[in-house]
Amino acid sequence: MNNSVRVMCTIQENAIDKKSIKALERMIKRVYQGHFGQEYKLNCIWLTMPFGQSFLAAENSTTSTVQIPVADELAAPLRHAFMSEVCTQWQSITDCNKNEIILACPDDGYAQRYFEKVDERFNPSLKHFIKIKLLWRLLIGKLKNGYFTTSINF
Amino acid sequence: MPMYTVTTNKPMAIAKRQELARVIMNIHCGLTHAPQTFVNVVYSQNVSLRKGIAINILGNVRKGRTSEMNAQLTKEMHEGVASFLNINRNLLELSLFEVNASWVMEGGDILPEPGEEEDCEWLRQKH
Repeated sequence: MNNSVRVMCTIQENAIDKKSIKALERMIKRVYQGHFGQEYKLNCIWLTMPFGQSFLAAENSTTSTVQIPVADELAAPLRHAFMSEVCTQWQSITDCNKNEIILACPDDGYAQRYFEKVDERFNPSLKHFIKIKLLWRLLIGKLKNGYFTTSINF
Repeated sequence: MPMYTVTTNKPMAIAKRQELARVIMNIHCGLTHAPQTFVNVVYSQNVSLRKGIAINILGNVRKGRTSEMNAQLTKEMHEGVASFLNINRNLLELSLFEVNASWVMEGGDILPEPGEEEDCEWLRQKH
């Protein structure tokens, strides 16, 4: 695992205010480095989902989904201690209940394969254009909000 | 978990999105006997998908089921979704991606392995 960690947070549009998102981002970085070392650099991406695009048990859902890769084959007690702390602090910052946060902390290798799988959806001839467009939108989001963010829709 | 990500090249009406979420949930739970409260479906719209594809579904499912079960789930999901949307099966891409249950926390608890849901405190409280 290299020291750069891509954190993907999918949240409901307007469900978490900007100040809280910045606090969440600081918290994730602080807790990660506290558990696994200061050498890790975390890059958080915030994907926003409009109302009516997320369902749990076929009902509208307000759940946020967060993926934070960790070192391959990290022992379960270390992984779970980290996950518990992130979930607890997430609830504290957002005032959401524990059912409104899904946290996945897969092996880094798994996360890479998952991102590749997600990329396979795209039209190959437009893949570069799509990635540049996505990057551009994330940069605009960063300039406007102070963190990398864009809509889950294209 | 599971988390089904439905990607479409065109927007879909909200009522249809919800109905499709129900179709996906029913197929998944009907075959795996997973609790309905596990099934997440999210939509990403206006995406340039591969040529000839109108809808892509990527299902993140818990690891631990047999390959035969996953093949059956893929087959039934493919047929059920295409039938519900009344589209040619070739327009739909569907694949499963397995994740270790112990890597995911929902409701403040680590997810149980498939078939061990009765031991999940979070689920017991929900029902």
